[in-house]
Amino acid sequence: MTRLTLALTVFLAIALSIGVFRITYQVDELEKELSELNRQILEEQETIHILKAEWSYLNDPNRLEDLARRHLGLKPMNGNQLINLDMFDKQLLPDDPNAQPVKLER
Amino acid sequence: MELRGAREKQLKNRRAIETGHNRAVVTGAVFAILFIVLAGRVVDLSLFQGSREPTLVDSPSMGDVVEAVRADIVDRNGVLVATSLPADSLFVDSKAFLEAGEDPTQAALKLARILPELAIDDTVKKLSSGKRFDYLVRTLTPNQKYQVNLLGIPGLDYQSDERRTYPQGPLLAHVLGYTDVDGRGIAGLEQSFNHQLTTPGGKLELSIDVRIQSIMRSALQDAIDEFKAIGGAGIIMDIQSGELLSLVSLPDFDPNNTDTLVGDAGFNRATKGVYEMGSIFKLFNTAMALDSKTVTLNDTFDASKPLKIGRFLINDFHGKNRVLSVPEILVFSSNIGSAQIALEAGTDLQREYMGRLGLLNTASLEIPEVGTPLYPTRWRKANTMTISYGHGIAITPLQLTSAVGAMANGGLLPNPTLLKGNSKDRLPPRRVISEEVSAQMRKLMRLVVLQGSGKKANSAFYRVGGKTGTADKQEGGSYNRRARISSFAGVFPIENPKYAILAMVDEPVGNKKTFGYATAGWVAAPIAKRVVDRVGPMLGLAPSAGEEQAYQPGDPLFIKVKG
Repeated sequence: MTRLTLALTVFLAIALSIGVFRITYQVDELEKELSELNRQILEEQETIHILKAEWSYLNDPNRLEDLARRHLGLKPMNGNQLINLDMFDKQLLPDDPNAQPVKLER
Repeated sequence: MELRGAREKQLKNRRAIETGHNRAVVTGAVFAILFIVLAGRVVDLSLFQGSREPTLVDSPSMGDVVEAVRADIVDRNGVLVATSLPADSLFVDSKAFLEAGEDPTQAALKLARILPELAIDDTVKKLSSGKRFDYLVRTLTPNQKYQVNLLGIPGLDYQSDERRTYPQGPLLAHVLGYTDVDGRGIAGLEQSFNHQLTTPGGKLELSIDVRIQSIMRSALQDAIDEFKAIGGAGIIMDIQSGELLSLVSLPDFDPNNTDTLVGDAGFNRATKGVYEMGSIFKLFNTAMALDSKTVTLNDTFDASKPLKIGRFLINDFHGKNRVLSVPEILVFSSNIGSAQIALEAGTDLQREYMGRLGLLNTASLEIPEVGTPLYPTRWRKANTMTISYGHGIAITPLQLTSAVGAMANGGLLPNPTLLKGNSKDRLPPRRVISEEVSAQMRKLMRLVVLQGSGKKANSAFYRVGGKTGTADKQEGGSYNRRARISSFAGVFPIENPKYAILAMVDEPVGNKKTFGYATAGWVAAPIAKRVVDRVGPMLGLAPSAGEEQAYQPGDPLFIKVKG
């Protein structure tokens, strides 16, 4: 009886210590991974920050205006191009479906 | 004998066993108590405190990133206009440099080729000083850092630092101001919000719209180039809330590079400069007379001959030489008529209204660069007459914009602000004129643009109302006829005014296209038209529709243009 108890105790002690050590190493590993990820997150956030500044720089209204003029043939919008919903109706849905849309007299 | 000896031995043994037993029991008890304490602590920790696993891992929050970093500034649509970027500062460990046995002069020459701001003799001194740490250049660009690394000079090292960056360059220079090398704000919002910007989460949201700011800036710059002017200012204000959508002062500088701060580039003409604004004051003069019921729109004044006061002679620029009605005095910008209206109202009333319009004390704005108006300490009759048409009182363009806004928005003076949507933290706008008078002023301002000196401000899509003002600049107590301030202040759309606009050009020179004129009607009014045409759609304004009322002879608002 005593022998059996002793053997069981020794076995349990060994099994438990192996378990505890394994978990400790796993936690260490995970912590290393976590801090690595955190470092990467910080790095990415810094990159995003710099990219945001660059985005704002590239969106300088003067620059966009120049690019749109040169490459897209766009011009600044003027008040003529704005109509309200009532006029939209009249302009796009003529009574006679065969009629061509005409410019409204204002 | 034998037996006795054995017995004694037995007794002795038993005593020894007993002692050993007692000791074991005591030790066992002590250990048992300790283990019970430990067990209790384990139960306490695992069951009563923190019985659950933490569900979140410790991750870096944004707070960690911006640690010791100045907060961003964004415009009203969230466009980044000021931010702090990581940058490296170059320093020299002179001891290591000297130990490597390099020649300081050669190294300094090589460095100066990449970093032109380094003075060679200064650098040589720093390289050979023997000190372990001395800054050479603060905040290098990544490209400069790469090139310095290529040189392979020993003893040079970097310290991570931050650099305040303004992605939009000079666009908001006078609004934002700038910071010194240590990142302390020393002008503009950077200065006045230095504390807030250095605390976490201290992000600033401006009322400025960079698109509108850009349109205003380029329109103003074009006018300055065309008329060879020395500077200018432009403002667009939401006259309900007082939010400034655009605040431009030219010339400006690039806050990324304070070397561009040359001459008066750092001087904010829009808020710091005080100028005699000329005939725009006739709006306030007319509003004062109508609001105090000194005159009605039907009254007339004789503007056929110059007005004499002491040694001054008040004359009209666009003289009509006849009797003018109150609306005509404003539309034809008659100094003679305005002075007579002011005399009728009296000095005290004029001073009271100027005070109400906030033209006698310093405007409040979030930046430190705000100018204090100049006005006569002793307000004589002659002052009353000249102030009626905007001479003898100097105010900032910002104050003028607020006051013109109050003329049109129903009579409430807006409090200007550079920050978005903080109207609840601010004082409510103050009533300066009655709603009826404001309605009359809207009609009068529209007439000036339709029939008076502001014709070139007439946008084809959005109805503008306003007034021009041309004033000779004072130099050493006398007026200089060659140096003038030409400005236009107005509101749009006039049927329901939402925004006030001001364009001011400092010392324009007339050219062939304007027949030599450099008056506000030729210089400043076209800026307003250009800007209104472009910003109208951006502000979501529907173009003005419907017929405009034309006034018939007999109506007090009828303007007799001919004769």
